Amino acid sequence: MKVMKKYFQILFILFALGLTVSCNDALELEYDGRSSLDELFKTRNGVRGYLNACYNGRIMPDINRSILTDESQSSEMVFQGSLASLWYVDAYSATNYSNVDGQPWSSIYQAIRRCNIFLDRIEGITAEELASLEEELTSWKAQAHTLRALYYLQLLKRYGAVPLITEPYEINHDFSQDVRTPVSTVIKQILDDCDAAMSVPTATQGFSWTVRTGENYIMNRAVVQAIRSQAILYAASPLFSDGTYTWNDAAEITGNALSNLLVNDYNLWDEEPEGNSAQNIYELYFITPHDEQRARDKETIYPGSRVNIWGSHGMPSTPGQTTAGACPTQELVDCYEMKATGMIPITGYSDPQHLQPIVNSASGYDPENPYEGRDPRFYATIYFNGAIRDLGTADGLSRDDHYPLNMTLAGNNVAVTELDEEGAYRIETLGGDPFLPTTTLTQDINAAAGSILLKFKYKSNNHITNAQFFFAAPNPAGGQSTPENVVLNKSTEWTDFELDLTPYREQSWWQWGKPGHSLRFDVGSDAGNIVDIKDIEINVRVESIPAAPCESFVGGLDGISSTDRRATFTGYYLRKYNNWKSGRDNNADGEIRMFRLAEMYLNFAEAAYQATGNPETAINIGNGMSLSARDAVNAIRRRVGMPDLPAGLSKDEFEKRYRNERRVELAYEGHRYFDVRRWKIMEESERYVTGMHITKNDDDSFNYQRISFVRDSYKEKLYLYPIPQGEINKMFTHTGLDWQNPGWN
Amino acid sequence: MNNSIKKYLSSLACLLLWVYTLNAQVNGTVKDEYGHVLQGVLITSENDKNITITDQNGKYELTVNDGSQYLTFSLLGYVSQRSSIEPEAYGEQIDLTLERAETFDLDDQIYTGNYTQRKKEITGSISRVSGKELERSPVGNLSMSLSGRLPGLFTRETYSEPARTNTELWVRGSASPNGGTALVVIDGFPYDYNANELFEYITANEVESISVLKDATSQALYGIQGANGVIVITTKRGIKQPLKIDVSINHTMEQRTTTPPFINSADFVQLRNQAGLNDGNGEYSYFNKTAVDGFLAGDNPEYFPNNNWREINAKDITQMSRVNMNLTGGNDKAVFYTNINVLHQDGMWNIDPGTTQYNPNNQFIWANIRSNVDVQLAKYFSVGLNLSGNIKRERTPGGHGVELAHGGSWDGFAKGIWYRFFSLPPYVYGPTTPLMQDPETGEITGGEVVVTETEPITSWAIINRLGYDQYTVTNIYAQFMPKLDLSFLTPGLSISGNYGYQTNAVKGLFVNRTYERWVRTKDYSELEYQKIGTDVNSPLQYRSSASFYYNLNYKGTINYQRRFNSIHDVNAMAYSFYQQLNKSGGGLPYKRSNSGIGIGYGYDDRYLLRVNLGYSGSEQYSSQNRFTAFPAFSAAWVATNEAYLEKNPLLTYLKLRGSWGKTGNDRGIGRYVYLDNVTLTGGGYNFLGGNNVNEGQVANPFLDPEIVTKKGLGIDLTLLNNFSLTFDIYNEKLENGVTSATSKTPDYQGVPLGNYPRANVGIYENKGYELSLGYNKDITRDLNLTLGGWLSQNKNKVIFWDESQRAEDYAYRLRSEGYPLGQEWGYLVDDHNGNGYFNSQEEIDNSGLVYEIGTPKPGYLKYYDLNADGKINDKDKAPLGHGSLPNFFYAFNGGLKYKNFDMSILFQGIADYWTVDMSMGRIEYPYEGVYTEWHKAAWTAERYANGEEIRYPALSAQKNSNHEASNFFLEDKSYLRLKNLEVGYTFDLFNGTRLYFSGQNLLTWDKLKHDVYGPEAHYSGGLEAIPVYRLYNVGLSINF
Repeated sequence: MKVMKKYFQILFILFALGLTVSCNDALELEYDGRSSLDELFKTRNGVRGYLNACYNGRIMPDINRSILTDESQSSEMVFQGSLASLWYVDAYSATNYSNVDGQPWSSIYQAIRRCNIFLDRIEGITAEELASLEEELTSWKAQAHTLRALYYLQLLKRYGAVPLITEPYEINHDFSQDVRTPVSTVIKQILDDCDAAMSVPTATQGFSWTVRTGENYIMNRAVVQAIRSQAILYAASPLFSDGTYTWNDAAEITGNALSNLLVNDYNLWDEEPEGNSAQNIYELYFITPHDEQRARDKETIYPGSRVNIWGSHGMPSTPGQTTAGACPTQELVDCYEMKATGMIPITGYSDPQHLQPIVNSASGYDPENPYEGRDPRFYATIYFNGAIRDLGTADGLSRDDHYPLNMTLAGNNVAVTELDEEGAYRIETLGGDPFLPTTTLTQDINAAAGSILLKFKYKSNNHITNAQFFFAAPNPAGGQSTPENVVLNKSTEWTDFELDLTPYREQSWWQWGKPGHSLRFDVGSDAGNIVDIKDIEINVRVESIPAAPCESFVGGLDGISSTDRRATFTGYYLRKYNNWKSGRDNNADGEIRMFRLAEMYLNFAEAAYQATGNPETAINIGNGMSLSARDAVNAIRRRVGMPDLPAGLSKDEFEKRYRNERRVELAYEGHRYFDVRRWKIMEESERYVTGMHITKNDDDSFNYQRISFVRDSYKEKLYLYPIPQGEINKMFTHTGLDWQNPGWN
Repeated sequence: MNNSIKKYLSSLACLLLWVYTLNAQVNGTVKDEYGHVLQGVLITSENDKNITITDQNGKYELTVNDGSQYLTFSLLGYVSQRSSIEPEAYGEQIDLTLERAETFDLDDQIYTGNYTQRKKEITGSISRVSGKELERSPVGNLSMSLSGRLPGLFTRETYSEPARTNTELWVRGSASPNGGTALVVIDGFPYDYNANELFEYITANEVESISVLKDATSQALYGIQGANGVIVITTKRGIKQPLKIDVSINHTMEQRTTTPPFINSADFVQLRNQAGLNDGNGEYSYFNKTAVDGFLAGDNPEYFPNNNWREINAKDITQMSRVNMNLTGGNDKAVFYTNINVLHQDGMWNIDPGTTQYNPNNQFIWANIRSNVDVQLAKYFSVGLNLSGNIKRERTPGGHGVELAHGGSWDGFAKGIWYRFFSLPPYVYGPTTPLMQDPETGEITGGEVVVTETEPITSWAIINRLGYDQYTVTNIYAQFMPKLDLSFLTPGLSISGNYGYQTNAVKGLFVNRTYERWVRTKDYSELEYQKIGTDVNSPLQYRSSASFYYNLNYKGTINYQRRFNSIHDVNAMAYSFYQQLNKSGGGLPYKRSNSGIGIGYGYDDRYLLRVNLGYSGSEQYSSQNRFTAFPAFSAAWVATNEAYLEKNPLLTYLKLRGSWGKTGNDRGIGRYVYLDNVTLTGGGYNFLGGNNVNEGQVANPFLDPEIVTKKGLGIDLTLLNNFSLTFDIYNEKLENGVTSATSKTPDYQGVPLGNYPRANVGIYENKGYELSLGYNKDITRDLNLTLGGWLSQNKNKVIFWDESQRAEDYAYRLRSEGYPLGQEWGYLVDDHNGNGYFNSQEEIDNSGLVYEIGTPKPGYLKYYDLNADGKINDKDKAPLGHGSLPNFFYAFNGGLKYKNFDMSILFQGIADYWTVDMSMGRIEYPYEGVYTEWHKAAWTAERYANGEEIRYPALSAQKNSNHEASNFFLEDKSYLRLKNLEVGYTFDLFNGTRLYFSGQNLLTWDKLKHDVYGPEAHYSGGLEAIPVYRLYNVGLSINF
């Protein structure tokens, strides 16, 4: 019985255990790092972190937007399910709509909500940690206002009138009272936010004009000017204008924005290319990434992102190219003026399909040599049949990069001393297996192609026949040996050493040449060697591709096609942003900008001639400056060496030249899509685009024939993005009203 | 204490005496009515302590020391018998004759995961199948054997790679839109996470039985987890008998039930050019005349290849072998059941002879060992111990990472290879570039993988060039089950614990490499290749991964079971259960707590009543709403036990049942929905200190688990002891369904809808019936015949789901409310003109229809403008099919035994099931064109003019208005399948040696209008799906 009781007790305890663990507390949340907004807004890091979240949602400019305009016809149209294949046949409805930025309705509003929450909570901050950070606080606040203005601008460009929300919604918000706020009210909010941002002092930690080191992509006063300029231009444009904002308002604000930028060290890029880096100023600007310190690039107001032209919009003869992408249209080519005369070569088309150009013979255009004597921007933007691609060096290298290395001072069985001469070392071997590592690479040598040479200069007291180098990478990758028995001659003078490491790179499966990788130098195997070494470097050399010009004629290396997405569909390839050095192993392509100063000139020019009716009427733009529309356009033209626009143009004549100028200057920067919409000329511009079908004659001359692409994507509904159908259904339930944009029902 | 109890008990005249000094020795022989000795008869003492079974001569011996007054003799298919024993008898001989229970075995023990009932005591609705029955299916995965064997369990095979098959298991359809497949209970522990996968770690040989709990009666005890139905797996345990060894050896040949017909290059290039022509790109848009002529002539396969990639790379027959050994036995102190099972699945691919460094073929070796031991430590204290370890090693062609790097997705080992047989066109040269020798240097080049622009990965390359992936999975169950018999307090009372864990660890070894990709140039007059992309032929590289999860389980149970006065049956239990699930990389552990009380009462075996109350909590809900009570009541009346029906020669059994109860569901929502999820993370801009904030879910502290109210009525009857019928009708209603914010909350409020708080406002209904019939007859002394079948209909409907009504000009303004779950929508083809296509441009113009889904061309589908606004758009969509689950499931089976010969057959089917199939190959434009038989009969002006059959709209290389969901793509997915057939012969060798042949999925009858793939393929995408396999098996089982 006693034994039995014992068992009973044991079991009872076990059973009770089973019961007790199952109480409520056992199911409570263990701490997993989650916080609340209340907590976050009490700390500096929390507030900064939340502001960072406010930055998430900017829509960066995208080259692909050009394929939805008369700038280019996409070779992707033959790729099933691609944007182009669906867009050109108008296969989109409000249910499945997608643009180059997808369907950004909800993502922009999510970003706006974060800005609203930030601005709402930053007002009430009393926490002690933050009280002493007044300057920073005001800067943060200004950044949030700027971001909100940018988001509403990006939203409005796409959707027109949108619900204007400036305070965060409660979860139980009554949606039935919401409306699509008129465009002018949204514009007012954008301008108010800009003013709010500008009202903050320009102190050290404050909201400044300059972008300091480490502040890449920060919102600043210059961005505010760009937002103001673009917002008011859109507000006065036919598609959006409801009369609230006039061209006069636009001229005033775009002028003010421009002068504010000019007096704060923003200037058009005018750095001439050195050597063979680029064909002209304009090309150099677009293959040069912005520098956050603004040492060279004072034109960029807000950067975008680096692009990949050679692969995604490249030529099939370039190894590794995947698609011809945005193939420039003949219409765009026709826009580039003749450099000598400053006249537009093609003034229009005598048929709807654009197959019969109206040639302006006074311009100097020769239809048999159509690519000669054009605006320098033409050569920087477009690869045409016969265009020289490779601006290569005289010695036939497309790449000759040097990556210096130093010796480290700690090795095995060696004594290392630095010599007086910069970068020179003396290595004395003290025993068996003497070796020492070099310093590590600080950047990727990108040497998947080409050759890798190890070079240095040395002196040696002995003839060493069994030196060796190891490729080394941090653990766990380890090392890889190069050939053994490398010879160092006995020499008292600095002797050049060169070893081709290329064959051995293949053996190091982790692809030696990344930051952190180093070499290990085995100085023979004996004691008593004294080796001086200096100027150690890894030299990556890539031979030039033979400088074959672009062959877009039928049957050429980059010949035109109608089914192969790797080949051009129009006879042209995109060159803007493309660094001729770019290739499979080295993307040196440039950057597309969100805002740059040239746009500010053009925005002002447009507003000014619209407001005054006379392109030569100078307008006071503040900061002691005055400027006419023609002056502003000429500023852009002079930078690339184009003649000034003639004086005495009528408003209509000027408009034509202005629109041509804007199209040329801002090609492939995402503006054309919105410009043809706000000007309401989309029906003319989008329906037919053409290409140039070039055949090579037996005498090596070329025969040019225009070919047309018909699109269904010119319809009125495409002026604005559709609001997603789900949203329309929901708002119909809440308000009984149809919120959809015209044509999308 | 004992004395007082004795006094009390002895005062009850008919009560069984509590005599724990009783110690009887019994032996005897058991035979059937024809005098055959019966092997395997289970003999249990009244108090369940003393158990044995008869040997091959029908003999048994048993010591009874648990105070029992009688023994029960039972054997599947026979009527159980009771025989009383004399206390303290020694050498008493009890010889018995068991009668065939030709329909119901009312003494069948049915385990619900919490308590055990005999079939006759059941008041709710439970289906059960024995492991023996499941062994008939020669399959690599236990879940595949369930199909058609359990009324009310809907199965569907969603992935068919041999031995890696995945079968979804649904109990009575779907109880909630947020629910899903059934909860799986193994030896008393419920498993929610990866439940379906757990079937991979258990074999039919180890399974005593599988029960499916279909109504609230027993589901209520699972509380929040019960609503989706419960599948209870019970493993075998030892019984007291001399050591018994069973060995079985099986060899299975596996063959696809369907193989897509090959479309040759000649057809392909013509179809592709036809598509180009239709798209307005001219006659020779994709293949120039040289190419077309070359492919058509077919006399130069070097320049104009015609590659059947499937034939090149896939075997037509694969093999699987299984060896199984059971060891069981024991004595009064301890009994054990041990199982060893080894399975080997051979590869399904042809490996290129040049791939010699390693063998990438998919191979599957699986070994499991189970040992279930019960030890009687003392008179009242026993301990059960289950240990089951599985090791599974899978080797597959490699390249998981490679595929991801090329923007693909990886959704199945073999699937990624299989679908590329069809996405890679037959005209492509390959699989590799020709070898060339440089005449000067002697250097050999070539042999590089040929790909296409659109598909950088080919099947051949995955198999032969990407290396291999190897996964080693170990899965361990360990359970410790102490039990204290409290019959010294009061008879029938016991208390038991069940503590254990299940761990699952996966070690991945990836030995991968990349390869150069070459495409052939478009000039078909020569063999020239161009390298694309940046990949190089790299050496093999090693990577590895590891992941795991484990469940910790604690359970305690009190049981009380007693019959008073021979007429009052009381059966009560209470339990408490706690589970903690940990996953690698899965955040905090998942915890749940269930408990419950169940009381059953039976009066004179005529009136039965059961009340179950589950009380369970889930960490998903705030502390105020965390726990929910789930009551259930059920009752039954056994009419044939009434005096006036007793011994009725015609109506041998009749039971009427009814139940009402609640169960719950906590699936389909995020974790900790009652809390906000805002975290401060890194990764922000430097000028903001690198800080970033992540905002996740917005809290709803008021969210409750979904509660489903289930009602059911049932009848069980037997006529003439040969014919049985069971009919159940049920209704399940969910009135607090968790609806998502996506239904009415607009996006512009700024909180991502996935994070927006949800609400308990949905209403949903699920109802149906099940009918089972059985017939069992011993026609002669040597010939037995069984026939059976079942049919179930299940329908669900979303009644309210907070859906936004669409504008008035929609043909259908609601798309989920009022429709079944997974209702598909699409256009209706207007075939008033006879064929449903626009047969000319004129017809398009005359129709006056504006297509807002892409402009139609001649040969395109003509859709109904349902809302008559002249436009074809989203507003014209109509319901297609009736939801994602089939309406009818049915099965029928037969069995025949003649002397030593036996045979069984099982058919299984679904009916009234329509789905829209727009998978690759059904539609033609994906990749570089994927064509199947109906595309050869696509619309062309010529075919139309000639009055030829048209089976598809005008081909295109681009997505267009034809590629919208429409009733053109709606297909009847009904089928009937000869699921299983087994023929066996038993030799009198050892204790019985049986040789048998069996087959699975032998024949399928379906209503598809094509032979490209089978009716189940749409679960994973038409041609992309690996076909269901047919299995031919030969097996030998020897009982030593």
